[in-house]
Amino acid sequence: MRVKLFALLITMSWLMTGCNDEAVLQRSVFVNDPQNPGLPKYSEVGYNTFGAYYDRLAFTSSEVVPIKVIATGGNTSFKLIGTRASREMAITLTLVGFSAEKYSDLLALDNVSLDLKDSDNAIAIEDESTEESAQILNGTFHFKRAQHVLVDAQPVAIVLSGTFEFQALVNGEPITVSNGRFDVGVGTDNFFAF
Amino acid sequence: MLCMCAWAQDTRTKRVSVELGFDGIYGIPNDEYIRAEASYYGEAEKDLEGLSYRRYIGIKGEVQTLDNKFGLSCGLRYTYLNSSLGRPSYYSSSSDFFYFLIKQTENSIEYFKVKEITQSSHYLGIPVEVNWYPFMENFLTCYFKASAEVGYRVSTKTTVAFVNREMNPLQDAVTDRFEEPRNVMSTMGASVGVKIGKSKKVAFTLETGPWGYLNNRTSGIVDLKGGFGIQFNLHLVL
Repeated sequence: MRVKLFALLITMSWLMTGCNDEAVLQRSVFVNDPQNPGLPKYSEVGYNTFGAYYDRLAFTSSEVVPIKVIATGGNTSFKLIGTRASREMAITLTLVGFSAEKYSDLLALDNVSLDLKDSDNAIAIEDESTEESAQILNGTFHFKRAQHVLVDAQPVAIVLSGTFEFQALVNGEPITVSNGRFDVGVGTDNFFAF
Repeated sequence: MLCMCAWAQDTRTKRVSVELGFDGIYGIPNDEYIRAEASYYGEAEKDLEGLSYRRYIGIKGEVQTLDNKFGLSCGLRYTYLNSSLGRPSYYSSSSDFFYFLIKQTENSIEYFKVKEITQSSHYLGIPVEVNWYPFMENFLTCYFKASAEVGYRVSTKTTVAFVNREMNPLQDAVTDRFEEPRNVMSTMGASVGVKIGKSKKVAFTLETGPWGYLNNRTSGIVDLKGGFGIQFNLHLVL
């Protein structure tokens, strides 16, 4: 019995070690920003983190899947998944008319700045499974950089990095999202087109 | 000069020794371009193995004071220094890998999957040692030593073990990211030793103790600080 248990432990640890290494590029690396406590420092290397102050409280990325990109019906949505004050939360930006068939199409977003007030693009805020559309008062969403990630000369993901901030009405309540920044990888496991 | 002057005095004890040593070396891996498993909070805590050691062999001469309480020795030493990133132990290679950042352009980040980076250097050096023999001679006689060494780097080779062997021709893309080690290294240390036997002609000694580098960039891939090891000596009394 002891031998079986030992063998099981060895096998499990071997499998876990192997899985961890394969997933290193998908892991989140949170480098604290001393200028903006609680938020990750702005980076452009695919650290799989984002953060913003949502009404002065830090809203930061989930360690597991910080972003899902969903392309459907001729639109593409970017769902930033994280927590705020220990509550699950998500902010979704939908680019109306931007259709990505595969994740590498996101490279077209390199240095694209969106004025959220003067466009058809939409923001939705999900708090504890309740999703509400936000009526944008003002704000911008800037994809500063879109980069291919190549491993051993093979493309494996796209890294999107940039900043965002806006003011909006959610359920008639005015809110401010400020100092937003993101540095996230999008690959086959978190890009969905249907 | 001191050695040579003392050597001329016939009444002093003079010894010629052959030394052999092995040291484990403590260092901080240079992981600036490495994306490895890291804790969620902070890139500074990468789970990356960095292992360094040195082996050396040398010959030296020693002259002792008239009362045989102190000895001054000087000689020539060949040192092989090995540093590695990703190697988990002295005896085995890694089965894991890390990502090495080759370059970042306007629209791309390029990594190689690397199992291990190894850098080996060969040095010729001059060790200078002061020995203190405070105890009466017995079968096992304890003594103490302060030592220093200046070494010149004769050659260095850096090799990369890729996960994908097709990348082997691109070794330079990785090695060029690291600085060359300095040409000259210097160390200082202290140790305690034990002389075995009471022979007047032949003596064996075994020493152990810490030492530290007096300069940085002794290795290009690990920031070496110092080490701890053992030294075996065979002495012939002249």
